[in-house]
Amino acid sequence: MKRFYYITFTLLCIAVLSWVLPWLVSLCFPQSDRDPFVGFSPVNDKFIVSLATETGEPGKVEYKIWDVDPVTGETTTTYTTEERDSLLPEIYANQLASKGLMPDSLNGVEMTMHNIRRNRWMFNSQPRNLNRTVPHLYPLMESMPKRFDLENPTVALYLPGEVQVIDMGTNSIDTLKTRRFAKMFADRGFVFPAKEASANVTVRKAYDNGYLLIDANNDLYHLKMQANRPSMARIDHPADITPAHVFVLENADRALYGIVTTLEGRTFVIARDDYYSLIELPGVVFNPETDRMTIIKNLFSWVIKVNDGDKSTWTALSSDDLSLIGTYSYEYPANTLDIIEPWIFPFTTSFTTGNDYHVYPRIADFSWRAVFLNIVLALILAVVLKRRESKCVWPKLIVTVIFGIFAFIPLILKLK
Amino acid sequence: MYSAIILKEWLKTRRVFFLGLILSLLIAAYAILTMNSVIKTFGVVSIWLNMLLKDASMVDVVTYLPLAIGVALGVAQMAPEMSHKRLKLTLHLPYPNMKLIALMLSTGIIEIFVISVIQMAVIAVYDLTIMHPYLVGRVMLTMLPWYLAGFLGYMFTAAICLEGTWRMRILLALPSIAILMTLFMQSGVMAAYNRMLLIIILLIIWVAVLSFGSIIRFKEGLQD
Amino acid sequence: MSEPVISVKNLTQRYGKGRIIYKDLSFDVPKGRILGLLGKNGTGKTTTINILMGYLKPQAGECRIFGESITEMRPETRARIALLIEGHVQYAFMTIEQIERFYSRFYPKWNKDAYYELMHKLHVSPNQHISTMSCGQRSQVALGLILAQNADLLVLDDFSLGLDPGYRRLFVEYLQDYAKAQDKTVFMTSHIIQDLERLIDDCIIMDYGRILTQTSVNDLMRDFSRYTFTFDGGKLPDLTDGDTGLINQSLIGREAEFYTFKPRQEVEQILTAKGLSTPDLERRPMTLEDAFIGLTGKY
Repeated sequence: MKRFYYITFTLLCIAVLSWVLPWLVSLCFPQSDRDPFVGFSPVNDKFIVSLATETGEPGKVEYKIWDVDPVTGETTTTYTTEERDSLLPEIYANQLASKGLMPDSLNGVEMTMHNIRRNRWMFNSQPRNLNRTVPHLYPLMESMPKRFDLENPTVALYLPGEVQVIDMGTNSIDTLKTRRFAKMFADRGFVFPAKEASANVTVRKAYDNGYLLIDANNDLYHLKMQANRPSMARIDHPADITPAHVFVLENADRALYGIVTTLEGRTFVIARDDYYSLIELPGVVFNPETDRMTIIKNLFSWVIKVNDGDKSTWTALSSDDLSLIGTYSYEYPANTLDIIEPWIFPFTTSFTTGNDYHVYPRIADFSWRAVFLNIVLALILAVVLKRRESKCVWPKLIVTVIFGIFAFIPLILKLK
Repeated sequence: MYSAIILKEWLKTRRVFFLGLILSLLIAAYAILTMNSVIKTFGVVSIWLNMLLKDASMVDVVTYLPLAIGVALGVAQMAPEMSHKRLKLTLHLPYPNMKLIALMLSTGIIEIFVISVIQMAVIAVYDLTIMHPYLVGRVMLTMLPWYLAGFLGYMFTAAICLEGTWRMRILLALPSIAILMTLFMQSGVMAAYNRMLLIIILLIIWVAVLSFGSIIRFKEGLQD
Repeated sequence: MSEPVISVKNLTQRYGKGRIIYKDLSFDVPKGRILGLLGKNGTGKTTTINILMGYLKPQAGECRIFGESITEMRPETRARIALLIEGHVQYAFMTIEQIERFYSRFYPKWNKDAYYELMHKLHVSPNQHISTMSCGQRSQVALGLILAQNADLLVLDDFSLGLDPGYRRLFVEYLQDYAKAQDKTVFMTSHIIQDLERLIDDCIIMDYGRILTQTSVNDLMRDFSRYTFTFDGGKLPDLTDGDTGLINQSLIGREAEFYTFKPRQEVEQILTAKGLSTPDLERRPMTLEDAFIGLTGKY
């Protein structure tokens, strides 16, 4: 039992130190993975990259701005912030307008604030929002409210293996709606259980597009509640793709229902015209479970940024036909921490990550390079233990070679 | 004999037990009253939507209470054993030492269990009247790591109190605090600990080893 | 002769890995005897008691009680041993009544009356918490519990600590009656040797690192003597020099003093050999405390 006690104590220390020490070291080397801002200029048809750099003065940054050819990747010119504003008139519309520098038209398109705003939207996706214990109870909004303004939902869908429409106010099943919805799900061929259901449940939007659903057969459905009745459509998709995640869009231009990503790593938008057609976003490599995505859609282009943690890639598509214009990648410079850490720690433990909302121990960053330090620590331990005439020296040394500094600290302590 | 041992543990812990129970009920009542006032102002639907869309469990006020009760119970139970080396009396009782420690720890665990279950039940019964059982389950899953922190905090406290030397007490306290901290990450997210619940339960059982080890060390004379 | 109740063989104990407390300490405590362990502070009394109680693992040697090794003692054997911890520590969170009921469950020979007889003398209510009692009252509770336990061996660590003379006397009297009447074996320490004189049959007197003597109190008082004589000649010669068996000599004013186990005849021969004429050599009466100081010295 006593040996078990010391083993328990040592293991607890190893577990805790493998979590605390890397965290303490990271505090000593603050990371500043600041992404550049990248826009696509309709004026010179190039990526315009603005990178903020520290000036040394607190709170003050300087901008380095340059262009990148979407095809060759070459940089020809650097710009001032004023020059950049003119190159990206849709993004810096307010600045240009206030200075009276907004052109009347560009590429034959009228450049009014109204036109710019109506054709502009943004979309954001973060892995955290998918990687969490999602509640499988879906509040359902009324898409055609009587008084036009959207109202908070009063019912929620529960899809455990059948359809249940729950009246939230009374905490009871709404039998009439349940019957109607169940019939609709059955008519459309929905196969339970639902794999995913996505919606933007908020009244702070112009209109409601309801839910996009993926059923057990990996088929796509669009569900809305209109005038208390279900409206459901099955969305056909090519046979060679398997929908993995769906995102509902409710943009001012009303052109799209949403975005679909597939297990094959492709990304599509569901267009409203031509009855739910899926259009691929070419050149976009996006896994919503691991990557962050931002889409900025403007009059002339879509700029889609995908960040996988190590690098960011921007893809520019033409707004007219979603054809690929080009891509630009930016990799973070390796920082001191990334260089030092593998030499000190054989592995690290963390309980949370920026990519999900789960808490559980994850052991990662295995590094064979730490073995050098581990051996040195084991030798020091050997000398110390010999002086103390300790028992069980070999197991302690082996543990130190494997677990390195995490084991060295508890093992060198004199516990008696 | 074991009933006498349990009685002894009860005499030491009953005040903390009742204090913990009353505090737990008051906190539960506070959480319920808060929900009631939200319902009166914004309607019951707002509770559902807060939970579903904003991950608000509405019982955050409970968070650190079970841990506090666990630690307090551990201190109330084990500190009298250590003051004036009273543990010598206990270990001299004609009852197998390890069984005796197991019995002592079980008494504490059962008391924490009773407090936890009563508080959970009060909240669950109220929640069931206003929301879907699925959501109630989610609230319970959110609260579960807090209660487990109570058990784990108790186990660590017991081991630290039963340890005879201050040096080792501090060395035990450091990893204990760190491990307990991991149970309070991601506040404001519901059911975030689902993948770790089993690990915590196994850890609670495992760290009982520390109490037994502390006793063996005490019997070998490792005392200040 | 029956097996000794306590048997200690070659006990060696140090402070950590440093100073030796004692080396190869061996002694037996026979059944029915009351043995006092005497020694100055720091000679290892508490260490020995802790080893005997099983709360300190000796670095070497063996310690058996009722023939069993104390580290692996069966609960049934533990039930035959009553412990008094230094300071009369008991479960202070219990009341007079609760603690009696608590212990009664563990000991088959429990004698409730012995406990309550003592409690009635204290004029305390059965519901009084031990934590609210005076040190003297607490000592009586601890004593009452020991008497009620009806154990075969009593191990008492410094029972006189913190007690005023009345309670000390009470404790000694009760213990003496009980031990003698019931043929109990007692192993005890005390820093007040006067208390032990009336009580103990045998004593072990410890010095730093060794046992000075282990004998019955009667033999000690018979064989160990203090002698005085008048000395006028300036500096007293070293009487202890040359394996004379005379110890702890001192000269206060004109009165010279020493202690020895030797008979008077031999003492006179030694003194003559040292060139001393001692017509008024006198053996003085001693208490156990005097004998203790004679053996261990004043410093």
